[in-house]
Amino acid sequence: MLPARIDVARLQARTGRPVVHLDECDSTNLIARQRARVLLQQGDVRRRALPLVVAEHQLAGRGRLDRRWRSLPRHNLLFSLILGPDLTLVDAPRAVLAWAAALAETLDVSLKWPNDLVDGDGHKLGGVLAEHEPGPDPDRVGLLVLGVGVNVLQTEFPRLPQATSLARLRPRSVFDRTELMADLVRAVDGVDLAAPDLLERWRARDRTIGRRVRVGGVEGVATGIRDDGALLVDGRPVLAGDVELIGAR
Amino acid sequence: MDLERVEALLKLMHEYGVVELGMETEEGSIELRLQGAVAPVAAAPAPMAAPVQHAPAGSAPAEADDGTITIDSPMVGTFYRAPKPGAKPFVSVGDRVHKGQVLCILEAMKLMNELESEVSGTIVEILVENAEPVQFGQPLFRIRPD
Repeated sequence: MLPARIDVARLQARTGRPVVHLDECDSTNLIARQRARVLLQQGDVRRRALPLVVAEHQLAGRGRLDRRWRSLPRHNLLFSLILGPDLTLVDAPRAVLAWAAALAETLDVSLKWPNDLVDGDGHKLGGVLAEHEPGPDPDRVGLLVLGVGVNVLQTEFPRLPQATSLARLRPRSVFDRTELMADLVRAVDGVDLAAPDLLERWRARDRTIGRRVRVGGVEGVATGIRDDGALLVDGRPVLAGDVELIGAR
Repeated sequence: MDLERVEALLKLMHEYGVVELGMETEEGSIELRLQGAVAPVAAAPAPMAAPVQHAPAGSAPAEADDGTITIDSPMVGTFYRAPKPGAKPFVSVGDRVHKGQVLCILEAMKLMNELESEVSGTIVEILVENAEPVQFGQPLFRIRPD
């Protein structure tokens, strides 16, 4: 028997967001981006209630560079939030790190740069893919779509030795996916992007700094993150790439 | 040319950081240079409409002498010519593009930003290699507008 579906009424009540709920779709980010485009055409996006797109199953869930994200129906959390922060594009990546930190705190897990949700051994149980939908000003954020995937009830990950889930991490816990999703959405919505130490919360959850890493053809020690969120590998900034942890902490 | 018009031009030059402006109209020609300006910064011999094309910074197109414009990066990031590795690039040299067409993806910290063309025209040059890091304001494409 499949687990229960997401309770849409409860999710709407707890998040204050209109919820678009789908049994299955290609990718919640694609749907959310279409919505975002329509909202931008209508204008005045900062004063509108921005939707939350939720799917029970994704047929073409995407990660970075269109990598597929596998998930069993009704087992995990797959959602995309439309966010309208009043930011320049230059400041937007930092915001994504801050939102990822809020997700990690809520789930009480760690982060691998830039925004993979991982357990203490670096096994991945979730991730974030943010996409920008441009508005009228090319230098400022139009709308951002924050796609979030979290493995919750799924316990088998064939051919994915690095994958894990909350159920695997906490086998004795009972998970209510609706509550969990509402908690995550509220955590993201609650992030104060004007906070002076926006990246402090990220650093507090990080498992990358101090480790030997391989990323984008570069190998070295992750020595820190820059103010804009770039990873410093032996002091050199890295802006994109999948980090492989290759040494002990 | 009347004083009001000259004042308006000077104001525009200030606003858009243009230090030197030469112009020819039916009424005659005029050359304006802001005081204290050391050297002209990308001061194209500007047609009347030039200032309005110079939106502030970032990805706004900047016009060159040969009538082409560059599309500049609005952010620091990694430049991708295609939606995924091995896929067909969004655009190639010689392609006709329309305003709003996606030219590339810029990624920074897993934030994907599809950069759209500000103009309709033809791609003359792609100034960055795939998967290279780019700086804020760095020219990415040279386009000849229609």
